[in-house]
Amino acid sequence: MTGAGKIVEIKWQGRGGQGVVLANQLIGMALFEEGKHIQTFPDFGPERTGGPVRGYTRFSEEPIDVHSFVYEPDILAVIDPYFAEDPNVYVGVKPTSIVVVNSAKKPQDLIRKIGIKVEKFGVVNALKISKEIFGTYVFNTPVLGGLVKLTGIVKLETLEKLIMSRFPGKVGELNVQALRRGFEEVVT
Amino acid sequence: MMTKALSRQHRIALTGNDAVAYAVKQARVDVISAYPITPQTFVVETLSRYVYDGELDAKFIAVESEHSAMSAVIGAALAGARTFTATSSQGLAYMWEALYAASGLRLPIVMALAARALSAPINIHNDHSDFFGMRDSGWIMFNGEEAQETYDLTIMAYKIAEDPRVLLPVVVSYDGFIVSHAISDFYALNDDVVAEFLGKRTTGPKIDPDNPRSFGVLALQDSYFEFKRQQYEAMENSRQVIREVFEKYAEISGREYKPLKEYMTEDAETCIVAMGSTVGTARQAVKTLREKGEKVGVIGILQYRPWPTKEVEQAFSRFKRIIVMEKTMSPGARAGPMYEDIASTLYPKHSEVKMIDYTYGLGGRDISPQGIIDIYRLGKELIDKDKNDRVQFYGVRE
Repeated sequence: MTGAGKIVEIKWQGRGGQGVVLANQLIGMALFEEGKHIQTFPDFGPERTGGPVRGYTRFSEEPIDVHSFVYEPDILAVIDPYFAEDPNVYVGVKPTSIVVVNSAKKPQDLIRKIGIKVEKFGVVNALKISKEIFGTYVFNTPVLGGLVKLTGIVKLETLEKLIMSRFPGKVGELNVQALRRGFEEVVT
Repeated sequence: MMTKALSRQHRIALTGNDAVAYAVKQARVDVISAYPITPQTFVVETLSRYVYDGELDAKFIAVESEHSAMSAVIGAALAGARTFTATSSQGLAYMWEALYAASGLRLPIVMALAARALSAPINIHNDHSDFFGMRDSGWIMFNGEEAQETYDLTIMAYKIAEDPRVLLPVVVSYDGFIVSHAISDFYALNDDVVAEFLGKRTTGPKIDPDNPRSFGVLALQDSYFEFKRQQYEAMENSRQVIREVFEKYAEISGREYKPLKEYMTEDAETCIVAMGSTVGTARQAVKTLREKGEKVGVIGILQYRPWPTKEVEQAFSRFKRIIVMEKTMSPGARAGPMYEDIASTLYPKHSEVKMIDYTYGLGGRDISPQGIIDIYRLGKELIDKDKNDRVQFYGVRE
């Protein structure tokens, strides 16, 4: 997706407590590990559980100058299943964008409901995946897996290593499983 | 030079806050004092972990307020220690009284400031109101655009502050959240390179029981003015010292710093002026405007105090129009602080240069490249219609 001078912009949308900030950092650090220039930052409102949280990552082969929020993401990841059905979340998405969302619904049904045209629209059933793996809701790593599958911007192994170094032991292993299932099960 | 410089450093990705903490660790400070609660940043949390883990042999003094944090580093600096503190927003405001003590006592303290808005209303996001509030406090003031500059300036700050010709405190400011909480990649020097560059602190006032002297004395009508005159001179001396330190740092890092950062100014008729992270966003905007044939450039102010008078005169006198973007508000003034600094530098020798002042981004309101393009078009039009006599506000609902 990158070329000389081109900056790729990623936007994450979710709610406080769903791991938006962490997923955003993981993709940013994975891109860094693979030699890219990166800029990865959250857009905090009031920091409270349940409130909307956005995260942004830019990457490029060249140093990145711009410091504003991301308004027209090349890649959009929606972690919260209710936001996945909210047309307002998709403002700024372009026909060339790749979108991955957490939902139990079919991609075609969501696209129809939201009314957008994009390059790729992928759905990860993170509710199901995380229930089976964690016994509770952990949405960010399954969606991250789906994002990697659809975009190919980093190697899955790079993320697996990052997750294991950050969360050694059981927590890391379960998240790696969730990441892989998201990668394998994303549907377009 | 670059290849040699690269062998002395490593590629790293950290938040702006952690980049500062990393530099402070490498500077091998002796004493850190901070108020660890809001509006503090992760800088001191990371530093306290370095100290706890034994990676940094320093005393970490957690205090009950920013006023005490500054007072504690003043005491430690008087005892000969290399010191550090960090703050933001109301914390800096609360420190105000002690800021003047630090510079008046000629102490080489270094402080990091994640620049943020001031209350009321309560806000935690970025603007430069806190930074400009300390304008006349006698501190040397730098503003980093992103993690790389902020890291480099933090290291250089110690070299400048501790130079016997200077002995003044230095603040390194960087944009709250936009830089402080953003992870980005940069080059950090290896520990031994920084250690060799800075050495140990050997200069400045030092309490020595074997050689008793008084510090912080009462100086009334007959001597206060002389102290202040010397303090003014120290700030003047710092101009040359800053130049020398920038040069030495370029030798070890390959990164060349200047008080002003110019971009596409060579044949520019209009120049946009900004500070902090907006400078990068403005470069992006200028790239777009240049593609459309607009003769526009951007100058970022890296060194705010001492104001780089000569460099400003040289750089700005050749433009037709100057559009100043300020993330602060000076109610009742003719314009914001940077506008006034530039105008007073150009007047009366270059009074043909026309200027306009834009207030933007208060309380963290985002500025995009398109926003800067808008400011350029609006500002240029107002100047050409001679309607540039008032401060303009961009991006506000009114």
